[in-house]
Parts: sequence; structure tokens; C-alpha cells
Amino acid sequence: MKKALTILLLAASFFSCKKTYEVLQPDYATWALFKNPAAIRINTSARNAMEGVYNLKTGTDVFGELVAVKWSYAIRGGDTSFHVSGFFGKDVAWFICEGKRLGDSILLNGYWRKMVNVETGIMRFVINQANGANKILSANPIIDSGSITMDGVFGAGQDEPKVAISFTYDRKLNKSPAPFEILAHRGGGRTSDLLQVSENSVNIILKTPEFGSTGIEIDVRFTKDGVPILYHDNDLNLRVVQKSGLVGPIENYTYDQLTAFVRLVNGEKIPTLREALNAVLYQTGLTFVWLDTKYIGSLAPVQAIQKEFLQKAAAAGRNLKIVIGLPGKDQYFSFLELPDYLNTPSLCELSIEEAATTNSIWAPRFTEGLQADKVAQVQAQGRRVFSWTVDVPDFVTQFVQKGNFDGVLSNFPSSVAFNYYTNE
Amino acid sequence: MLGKFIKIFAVIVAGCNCYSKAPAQDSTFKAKHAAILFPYPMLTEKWRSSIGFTLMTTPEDITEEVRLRIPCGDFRVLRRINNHLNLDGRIMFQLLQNHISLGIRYVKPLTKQLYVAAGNDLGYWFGFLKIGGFNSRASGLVNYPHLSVGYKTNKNLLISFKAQVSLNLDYKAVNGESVFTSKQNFYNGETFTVSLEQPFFKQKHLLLAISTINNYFYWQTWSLFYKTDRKVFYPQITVALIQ
Amino acid sequence: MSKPFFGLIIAVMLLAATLLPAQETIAVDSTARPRRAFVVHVGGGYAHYTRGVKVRAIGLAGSIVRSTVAATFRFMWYPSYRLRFGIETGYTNFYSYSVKNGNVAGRVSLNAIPILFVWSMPLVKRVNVYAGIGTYILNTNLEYQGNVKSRDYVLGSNFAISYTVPLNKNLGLAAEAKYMNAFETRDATLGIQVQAVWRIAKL
Repeated sequence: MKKALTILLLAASFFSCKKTYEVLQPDYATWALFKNPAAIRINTSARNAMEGVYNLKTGTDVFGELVAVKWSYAIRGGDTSFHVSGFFGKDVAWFICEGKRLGDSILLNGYWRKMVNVETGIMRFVINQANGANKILSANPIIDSGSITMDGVFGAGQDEPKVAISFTYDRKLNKSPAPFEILAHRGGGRTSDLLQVSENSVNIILKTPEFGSTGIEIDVRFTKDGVPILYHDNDLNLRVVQKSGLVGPIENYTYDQLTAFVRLVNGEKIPTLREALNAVLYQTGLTFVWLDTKYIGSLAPVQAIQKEFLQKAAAAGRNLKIVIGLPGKDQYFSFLELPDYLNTPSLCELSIEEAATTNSIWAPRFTEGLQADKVAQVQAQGRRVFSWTVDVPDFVTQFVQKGNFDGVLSNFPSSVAFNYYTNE
Repeated sequence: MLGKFIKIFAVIVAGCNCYSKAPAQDSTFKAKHAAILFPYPMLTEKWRSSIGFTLMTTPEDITEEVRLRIPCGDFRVLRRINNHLNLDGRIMFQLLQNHISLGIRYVKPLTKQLYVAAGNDLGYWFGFLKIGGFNSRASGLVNYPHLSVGYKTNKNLLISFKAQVSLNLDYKAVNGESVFTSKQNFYNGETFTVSLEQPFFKQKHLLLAISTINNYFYWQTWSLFYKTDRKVFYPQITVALIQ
Repeated sequence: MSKPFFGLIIAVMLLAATLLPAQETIAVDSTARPRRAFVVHVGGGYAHYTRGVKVRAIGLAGSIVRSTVAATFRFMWYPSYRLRFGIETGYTNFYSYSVKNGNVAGRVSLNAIPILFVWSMPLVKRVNVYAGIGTYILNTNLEYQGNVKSRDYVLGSNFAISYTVPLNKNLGLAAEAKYMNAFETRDATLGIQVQAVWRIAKL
């Protein structure tokens, strides 16, 4: 029996081999030069001048041959913060940096991450006068191939960055076809993507422009007392929320009960739909919102909020589209019951005939393939076509560069952004 | 680091516990100890088979609410080559995805109660889905080298422990006309299995096994197209009747 | 239970196995088969919630209550051989806590009813180990601006080791250490129980 027990226990010891992954965003605020009081914000024309497709000279083994560089902004607590992002072609890698001007040089300070694994680290760049800073900072920047070189270093984790990376400007960002929607699933990604912000939260909405998103998809449900909130799953579970003792369908609880007891995995409260749309409209430059209606019931309350925020967007001079998503037959028939449904912007995941009936954007699942004929048919009717949810890097390349879609929804919007902006 | 140290310590202690002065080998080992996973030599029989099912729970973070809780049919057959060598065939069937493997296993008794085996299986899996927004199929080739150790108790219970590695040789996925092929993740992961086999009723014997599958890619979740460089943990139980 | 902690427990048990006296080779008459029987276990005792719970509720009043009661009902089939099978159910309260948010007081408790397939094996005389897998029915009782009773079904397992003292031919008293684990929701208790063990039919 001793041997039997031994074998069983030996086997049991291997059952503890489940690996837990986590990503700790490095603290990059350690660069003394960047904290120089003389370093000031880069102006709009300089930011625009820096955007483009760059060829990597060093660092290709880690990040690939090309990088698409783009600026974005978000308003937090009344302050507007600008970030420059770089979208690489290898391993769905990206960097996100803050930028400052120090004398005749431009400093970029931030971090990088690969979405296919948990690799991350600090990344910094200097563009000095000789390498194009003078052109970028001029009153009327004229940028052509080879005129900007970003010289930088990167590291792993919290280590001081020492490995060289540099890239040289090649061409402008491709923006054809336009408009093309780079849509971020659940606002920017899922819990399993190990972002420091939770899916379907205000925090991820404010973060998502840095991932290259031009729009978002968010999931709408209702609480027991009829408050529309953002939440994907049917039940409260540890994939989405922290442990609280509350289990079962989220519709069993009132909004006050959820606010008092439940937090998303990164600590945020579950937002209302209004809070989310306010963030999109007044705190970001996002131009598209896909409301994925996860519940079965009347769509009238969602339609009312949609109209309210479209009016607010128009009043604010913002180019913002908000569509009601119809993921299934229940939502499709509920939509047909709405007054004036033909003039209510919507997006239909069912057949092209059903999408035509509701006058919707057609959104087939990516697993149906490129479907060039059907896509052309819908576009000939004056409506757009999106594909979802495309994550496998090779499929993203095929769908963005060989497909004829007007937008792609992904958990890796940076991958979509890379393939769109570098497409020739 | 602590986990690795504990595993090394466990192996050393286990080795000390299992070593003992070997009594004379039982050359009259009878097939009354019917077994499929237990590494015994097939001295008198040509064939042995089992039919049962495996049940796996999928990790919530990749499958989310679509947890695969449908059992997978499991048919295994052993064919004797000689006193030490068996051919080992296995079919795992789940309708929309299936896995076939064929391999060879070398068995060596160490003592009257302790047996070891080493083997290699080559597996082919395929899946297809043409409903509900899917126009997809995928297939792949995987190699599984493995080692087993088994202990025969005095009370007709056979306990075995198997360690297996998964080597991804080929992968292909098709969505409509979009094709993706890959040979990445050559080293795909490892699986550890502990099994108990004993008489059940009449001439039938029962296999009960629990496995931990730690892979970058596992064929049963092909339709999720989850492709990252992170290992995923799948616990799995196997129940089968051996005849 | 964290991975290194689990592995450490296993390593300690392996070391303990090393210290077990080696069993003498007993001339076992393998043709004599033990009697087959149906056996029922009924009992209860104390359980302690072992997993982490960092409640972020507003106005958490006091600490989270982790000590609880647990009950077991197990129906087993003892065949002629070593491995035994059965089903098990029972009850445990995982944890509870109270909140006070301004003038509003509230309370949450989470309890579970396991329904498991169980396998069992005797280790040495009077000592059995049990392992089960199946479903835990989780129930939330929430009192906060109204009452909510909500339910979920999650996968779980349990492990137990017991020592049984026979009282007569068909009845025994067992002391059992049990680990109940609703692993999908990372809820688990470790406890001790006293159980009546009743052999209700011999075949």
C-alpha cells in the first residue's frame, strides 16, 4: 500500500502544474530626462507629422519589419492626455508612449507589450534634431521617406531598457478604404487579454484609442430595476467580477445592489450604458459604438438612449455613430417592433436578407470567410459590412488586406490597426 | 521556483519509496488483471480493448460561457506484437471533432508488482462546423511520446502514472475560403495521467483516470481559434469498460 | 488554495508515506472475495473557508465569517474489489459578511449543496479515502435594499479521508477530514465531521 500511496501522491504533485499568467504594466516614470521641467507637450501639428509607417532598422527579430505610428487622446479628470502608439507586425506587439519636446529633441516614454503572450517592458525613444525633430517641430512639417528616425531602447519587465530599437519613416498611414472601422471587442479586449483595465468598463473605453481603436463594441444588459449596464456574461462569475458572494444571473440584482457589492476584475464598478456613452462622447475621439444587446426584451429603452446620445453628439460637433446590435432572432424581432426602426441605426449579425429588412450594417462572423460576393452585394445596396471577432493574426491580415469589409471587430485592435495602416 | 523544487523533491522521495528488493518476476502473469493504461506485457492475449468516455472542463477565460461539457467517446485497442511490444490504437470521437492515434508501446516488468513502459503515438485530429455562422474546418498532426509506471496491488487494483508530451507537427484551419496553416508551437505541452483499473462485474474491468492537460493548443477547442503563446490547463477524467 | 501550497501538502504527504512502516508481504488468498454491500454515511461537523475572498463591498462591517457547519449524506456501493463508488450530497455555508452603507445595512451569505459522484478506496484497516466530482448548487442570500435569493450551478470536487470504528456488524462511527472545492468559483472549505456509517444491505 505504501507504494500505491506513493504513486498516487507523486501523480497528485503534478496536478499543481497549472500556470497562472499575469501582466504587470511596468512603471516607466523613471526616465530622468523625461521629467526635466523644461520638457513641454508636443503640439498638434508635430503629432500629426510623426504619424506614419516606419521601417525597423534594429529590433526586427523581436517586433518585425514595420511599425505603424499613431497618436490618440483621452480626457481624464478634465486633463487631456495624448499618447503615441506603435503597432508592430509580429506577435501583436505594440508600444504606448507619452511624448514631450525638450529643446530641439522629441522624447517618447512608455512601455511595450505582446498580446499573444505576457511579454512587456519599458520602451523609450529620442528623435534628435538631425534625425528629423527639426522637421517635425517646424511650422509646416513636410515629411518624406527617411526624414525621421526614432532611436530607442527597450527592456523586459521593470528592467532598465538597454536593447536598441530604431525605425525610419517610410510613408504616410494608409487610410483607404475610408472610413474603415477598427472596432475593439468589449471596449478594448477581454479579461483573458490581461489588460490592466476590465472589459466593458469606462476605464477600457478611455484606454482603447491607445490600442488603435476607432470604435468599440460593448455589451448591454438590464438590471432587475431596469437600469441598462455594460456586462457580457449571463451570470456573475469570476471571469468578469471579483468574488463577492453574489452568484447567478445579473438580472436578479438591482443596480444599487450591484454597485454596493460587485466590482469588475480590476476593481471598477459595473458602468451604466449612459456612463459609457458619456465617456465615449466627451472623453475620447472614438467615432463608432456598437451596442451588442445581450438581453431578450424590448429594445425601446436602448433606442431612446441611442437617440439621446446621437443628438448630444451632433450638438457637440462630434462625428459619432451608435448602432443597436442584433445578435440573434429574439433581438431581430424586438427591433422590428420598434417604431421607425428603418431609420434607427443598427447592425445585424444574421443573414443578408434579414440585415436588408432592418436596413442594418451586416456583420457576419469571420468563420464564414471573406464572402466577397455577399459583401459586394450589401455594399451595392448602400450599407456597410463588418466582420467579427477576428483575432488570429493571419486571419486579421487576410480580412483587412484581402477582404472588402468596412470594419473589423477584434480583441486585438492593434493588429487590425497595423494591417490597415501598413496596407499598400 | 518553489513549485519546481517541490516536484524534484517529490520525485526523489517517490523513487526512495518505490525501490525495494525485487522479488522473482511473475512469469505466469495472467490477463485476469485486464488493463488498458497499466503497462503490462500481453503474454497470452492478442487483443484488448476498452470503450468509454472522457470528460473535460475547459478554461473559463478562453471558452467563457461556452464550456465544453459534452463527453467525448473513447475507444482503445491494444494488439500484441511480442512479450514486450504492443500496438496501441485510440479513437476519440465527439462528432464535430475527432482524434485518431496509433502508436507503439514497450513494456518492461521491473518487479512482481512494478511495471514501466515507454511509447510513442502519432495522432491526427479533425473538426468541422457548418452551422450557426460557422463555415469552418480544421485538422492537425500531433506526436505523443510517453512514459508510464504501474503498480499492481495485492487486491486486483492496478495503479498507473503516465507522463506524455505533445509535439505539434501540423495545423490547418479554413474559414470559408480563408486558409491558415502553421507549424508553430512544435512543443505543445504535457499531459499527466493517473489511472485506476480493477474488475467491475463479470468479465468486465473498469478504468478510471484523471489527467491534467497543459497545452498551448488542444484539439477539442479548435473552433475557438484561440491562438496565443500561453499554455492552457484542461483537467480531464476518463471512464471506460475494458474487455 | 495556491499552487505552491497544494504542492507542499503533497510533498509532506509523500514524506509521511516514506515513514509508513513497509507492509509485510501477506499471503493473501486472492480467491476469497469480500462481501458486497450498500453503505450509507450520514454526518456533519465543522468547516472553515480556505480560499481568498477580498470583498470590496461598500461599508464592510466586521470581518468575513469563514467558520461554518457542514453536513454529508453519502450512498456507496462496495463491490468485491478495492475501488468503491457512490453518490454524495450535503451542505456547507462558504462564507458570509455584513455591510453598513450610511443608514443601509445588509448581509450576504453564500452556501452550497454538492451533488457528486464519489470513488472510495481503503488505505489500511479502517482508513478510507474518498474523491468526488460533480456539481455544487451555489445559493446567494442577499439582504440589502430588498432580499435576493440567487442560484448558480458550478463544477466542483471533494477529497476526504476517514477513520471508522465499528460499533457492531452493520454500524460504525467515522471521523472524516474533508476538503470541499467548488473549483469553478474558487470556493472551498476544509473541515472535520463525525458520521454514522451504516451497511444497509449485504450481497
